[in-house]
Amino acid sequence: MRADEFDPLFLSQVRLGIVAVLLQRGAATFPELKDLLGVTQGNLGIHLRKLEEGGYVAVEKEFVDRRPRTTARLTRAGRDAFRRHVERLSRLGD
Amino acid sequence: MEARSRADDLAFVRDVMARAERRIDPHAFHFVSWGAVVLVWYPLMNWLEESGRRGAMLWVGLAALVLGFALSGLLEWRRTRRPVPAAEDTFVGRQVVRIVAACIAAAALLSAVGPATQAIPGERVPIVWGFAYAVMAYAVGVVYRDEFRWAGAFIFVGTVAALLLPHAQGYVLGPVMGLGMIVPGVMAERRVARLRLQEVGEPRD
Repeated sequence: MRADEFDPLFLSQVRLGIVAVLLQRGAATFPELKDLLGVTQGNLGIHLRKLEEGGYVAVEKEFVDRRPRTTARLTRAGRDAFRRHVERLSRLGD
Repeated sequence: MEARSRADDLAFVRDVMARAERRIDPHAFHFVSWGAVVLVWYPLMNWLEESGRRGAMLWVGLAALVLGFALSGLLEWRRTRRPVPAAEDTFVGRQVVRIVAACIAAAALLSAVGPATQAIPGERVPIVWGFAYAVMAYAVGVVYRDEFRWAGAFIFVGTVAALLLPHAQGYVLGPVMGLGMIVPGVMAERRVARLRLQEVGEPRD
């Protein structure tokens, strides 16, 4: 990716939103992300998987009170990429 | 960059981050109420010991604990009566609860076992609580907000000073632990109140 190009993983507003939430909170559960971003379960799952494959997000699955809970955390690579992306957006917006 | 504008993306990111923040309520009123109790309790104990009224110390200690639990319980009850925005029970909120529970449980255990086994002299138990508060505030700062980290460092330094000044231990620990809890606690409570007000004034998604 060239320095003046946008990160393809952030071309989707849902993925941008997921990373923005995780940057703010450090981690968030699947229902929290769904509620905050106002997306469907399937849509969120697809975007979360793409971010995970890109190494921007780490997803943990566990059972709490016999119910599955999925928690997403932002990785260092994700944090750095998001900051670069927002800086680039801000610079071009000036 | 496709039809969507860069300005839209930036505005979206800001909006999402603001929404993500306002769902965090660390129940900081517990820090404020216990900080206020300790602010008065520890110096009072020091003064009672100095003036030879050791018999009153037990009753003052019990009264302080009852007052602290009553205040915390009352404020928690008030909190349950406020409208709860969706998804408010966040990961960060749960982490704060776990940190506080672990630190309080560890300090309570040491306060009981330490003097019983003579590993910690009874009159030095407040030092244990000073270090517990320092670790608790610092850890809350790591997961929530930096002001708690600074408060943790402040309480830690104050507790070390109290360790070196055994005769003035309560006079040092009271203000250090009290202010170290009250100041970040009030800041957090004001932030939660402000964000909640903004949310009430905004249309639902």
